Amino acid sequence: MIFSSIFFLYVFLPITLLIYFLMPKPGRNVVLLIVSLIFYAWGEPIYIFLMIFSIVFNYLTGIELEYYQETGDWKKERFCFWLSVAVNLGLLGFFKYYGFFMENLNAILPFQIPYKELPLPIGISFYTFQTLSYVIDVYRGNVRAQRNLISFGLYVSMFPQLIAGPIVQYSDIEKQLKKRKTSLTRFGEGTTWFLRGLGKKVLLANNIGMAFDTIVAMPTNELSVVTAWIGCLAYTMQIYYDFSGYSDMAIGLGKMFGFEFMKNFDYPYISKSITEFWRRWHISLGSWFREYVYIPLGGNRVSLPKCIRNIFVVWILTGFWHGAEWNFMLWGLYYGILLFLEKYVLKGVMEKLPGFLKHIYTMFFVMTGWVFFFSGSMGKAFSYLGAMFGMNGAGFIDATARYYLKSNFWILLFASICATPVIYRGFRSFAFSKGKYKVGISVFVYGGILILSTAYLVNATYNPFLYFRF
Amino acid sequence: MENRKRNARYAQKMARRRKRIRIKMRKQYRLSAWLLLLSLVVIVTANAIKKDSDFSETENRMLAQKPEFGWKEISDGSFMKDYESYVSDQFVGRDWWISLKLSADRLLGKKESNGVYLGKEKYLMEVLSKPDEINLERNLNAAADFQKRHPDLNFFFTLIPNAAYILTDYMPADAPVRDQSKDIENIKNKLGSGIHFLDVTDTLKEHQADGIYYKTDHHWTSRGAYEVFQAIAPELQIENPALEYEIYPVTDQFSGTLASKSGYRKASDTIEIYVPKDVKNDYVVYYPDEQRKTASMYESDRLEQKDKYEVFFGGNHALVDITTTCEQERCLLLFKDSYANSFVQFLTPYFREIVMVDPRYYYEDIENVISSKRVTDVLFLYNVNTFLSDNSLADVLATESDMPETPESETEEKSSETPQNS
Amino acid sequence: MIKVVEGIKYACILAVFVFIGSMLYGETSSKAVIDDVEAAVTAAMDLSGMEKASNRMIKRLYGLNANDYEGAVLYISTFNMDVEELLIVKLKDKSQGETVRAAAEQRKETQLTNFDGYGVEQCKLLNDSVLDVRGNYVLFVVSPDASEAEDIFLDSL
Repeated sequence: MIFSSIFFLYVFLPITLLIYFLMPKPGRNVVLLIVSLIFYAWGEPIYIFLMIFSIVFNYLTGIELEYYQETGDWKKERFCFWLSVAVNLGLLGFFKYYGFFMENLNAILPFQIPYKELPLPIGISFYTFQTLSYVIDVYRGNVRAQRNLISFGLYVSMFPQLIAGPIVQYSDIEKQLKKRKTSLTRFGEGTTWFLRGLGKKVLLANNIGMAFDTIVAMPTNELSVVTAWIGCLAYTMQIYYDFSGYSDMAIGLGKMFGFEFMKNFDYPYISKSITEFWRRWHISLGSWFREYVYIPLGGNRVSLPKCIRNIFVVWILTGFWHGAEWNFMLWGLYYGILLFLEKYVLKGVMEKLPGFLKHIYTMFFVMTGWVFFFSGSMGKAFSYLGAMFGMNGAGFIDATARYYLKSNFWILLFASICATPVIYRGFRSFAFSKGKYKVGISVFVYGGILILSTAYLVNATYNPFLYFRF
Repeated sequence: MENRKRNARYAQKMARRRKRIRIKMRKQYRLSAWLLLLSLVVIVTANAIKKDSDFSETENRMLAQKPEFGWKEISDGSFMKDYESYVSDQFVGRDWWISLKLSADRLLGKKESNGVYLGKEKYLMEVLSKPDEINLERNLNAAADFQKRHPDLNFFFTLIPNAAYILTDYMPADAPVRDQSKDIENIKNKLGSGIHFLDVTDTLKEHQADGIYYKTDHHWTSRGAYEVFQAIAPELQIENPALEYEIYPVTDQFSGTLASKSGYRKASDTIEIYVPKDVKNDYVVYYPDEQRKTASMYESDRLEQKDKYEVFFGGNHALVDITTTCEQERCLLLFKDSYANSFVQFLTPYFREIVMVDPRYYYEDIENVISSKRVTDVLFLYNVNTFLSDNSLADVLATESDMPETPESETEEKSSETPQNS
Repeated sequence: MIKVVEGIKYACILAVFVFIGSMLYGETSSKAVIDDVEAAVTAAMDLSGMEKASNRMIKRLYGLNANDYEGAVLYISTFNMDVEELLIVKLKDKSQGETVRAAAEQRKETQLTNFDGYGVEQCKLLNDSVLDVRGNYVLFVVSPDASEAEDIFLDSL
């Protein structure tokens, strides 16, 4: 199930809210757990077993780890820990990378091994990272093992962030699982987050996505430079609004139920460097890799060669996390190289550049990066890049480019401005300034988003969800 | 002293401001909470009260109904999928929401809706499709082979370009359009010399402003068919075709498939029928699938329903047999799509018998028709869009012995390769 | 106590292996004879207006060579403007399942294009059609009785 659907908004959510708030506080975790499991089972019911396995297995691992720590049985503790890491990563690896692995193996081998690819359980990349963070934190002694199976189950399966993040680290949420505050004000704050996210996803991302889909479906050798860039810009906007909209909805729903999740996006497209971009894009994933891969490898406090190795390990893994294809790997490597250059080579130059050039530099590489991301294969990526730089000989601008520019001009312009803080900041300072009806008007705007989004969802012949691939 | 006072005043002012923002923020949050809760209550209640409907007039399709609840349905996920489509299909005020969405699109300057261009003067035009290369190749080879098997028959082939290609004056500016004359040229070259190809592109282009296509439907109008008939009659070896026609507008309330598909229903079309004057034009239409005979090709009861284009022959049939009182010895076998339905009204005075075959629905052996009816002429009449994606013509034209080999599952990538089963 | 925890944990791991194994190789081949399956399914459906089609028709409509399979039966409407269809295929080996599934999907797509805009009822039936690949059997039904047919089909394997 996805949030941006009529069914979620007008059936699942009302029922969930009703039961949740009618239930006395001690029972609320159970309600959320059950509802989350239903939410998960909705799309691919059979995988509910996988989810339950993940919950029980990691729950038991936590208890065992703590027991060995208390009894000082370090050998068993270490074995138990690595077994858990192996099982968690093994499952993720099997479901996500098995098909890719076999495909490549068959390409190398002189004979073919038949294999059957299973459908990817939704959100497995997200919840595996969450269970891993728990096991690692218990192992390190940062947190106590969770003895309440319901609380733990809720941590792993909580529906707001289950299928597209943010990736919540156990230590951040431990206390909230036991005790959290709900109030009308908090609920309302959650509502504003949720509606902003809904608008981003349904009104902006989906609409811009249509332009992208038509452009990318055209033969690349016929794309003029301008068309190719419009396509690339459209994807740049689509993926941001899709993903950050989904995160905002997750954060909003969390707030409604009394949870605080970490902010996942912080206006990434206003960054002045790639380093900054990655501090603002998918923040929860970045901090997960920093916390559980980069720093354990020694971070940047080791010798230069090791430092460089660490950067590349983290970025190739990041790329691969996004999908089991070579182009995702290349995309990760691309960022590894850029970040390495920024850190060790371009540092002096970057500081001297004027601000707007830094923006241009950043957006140029981010947009080029998305080409690797959206192209299904390396070959397609390079031929699209070729079109962007006029190497296919289709000219600079043609009627097609003018058509797409004209028919998407306002929405692309609006999306680009909204990717900076200007609009939202202006909206807030308007709403909270002196004057009688301003708050009312701002709520009216939220109402407008809800109504328009509903209209688009009812008409949803077109409502693809990009993140099932992860 | 003075400074401190100012600082204190400033701090006070800031504190007041922070307080104001805090209060207003609280108010905004609480109001938003009520907004969401109230909207949910209202819509959920309305949905609960509303009766389910079976059919959507505006979308021209059956709406999803409440799915059955059972273990099997749940465990394979079909219950969930069906329930989701049920909820959105039966959503309260569905048509209103859809029209709201379309107005919003219009405001944003969208020129396309669900594969339909929103042209000037309320013209709706279908986005042109790309050829299905494998099947196109098969169809053309089959047609050429078919002709070689029947060298004694006259073969004619005509393709009608679609509105988006012809009506350049009414298209949204700069909209990308597939060059159908290239497709036509390509097809013409592959058909070989035994089949007489009739190119009508220029004729139609000349009459752009004459309403040769419906504004709300993907078909051509009778006027379009009339112009084409006048242009190709000599090539079809029809001597002295009728020049004078009585034109009867049978409805002005036609809202066609493109209006349904795009959701824009600003225009409505007039359907006209053309009856030749000063020519003997009596005939009997026989529908074998319904075992029904009638003396008119116009089914006026179809004017009461949604798809009024079905006034011509009551829509598509696998085979329609028209016998006339014409004294000529010519019998025409017409392979066609629905474009031909409004074209046949111009042909009846000049053939003893016309057999219309729609290969999409026709499964019998075509050779029987040829021998039993003593066919003299064969005409293929399709619109370009349908013909480029047709996958049925080759099978009808093939003989028992050269049934196609099992086609591989046809993927997009494969379409550029040489077909294996031609 | 900790032994119990450990025990359950290993049981869990075992269970997940079994789960994945069953998803990969689980669908057992059915020994049922295709004639019996055909008889059972056709008994559950209203077959008036439908007739059994020849192997040539299977090739024509689905592009499938009936002889490549253990058995294949097709029923189609006698009236060409109806879309009711019933296809049952028993595979020689399970790897053929994808081919047959693709063929049935292709057939459904073709029919949807043919009837799009003309036949509202037909499109509805096509959209509600059932396509089920179970081990070595494939069922494709376009019919108002599709879901009953599917139940019977599954029972008869």
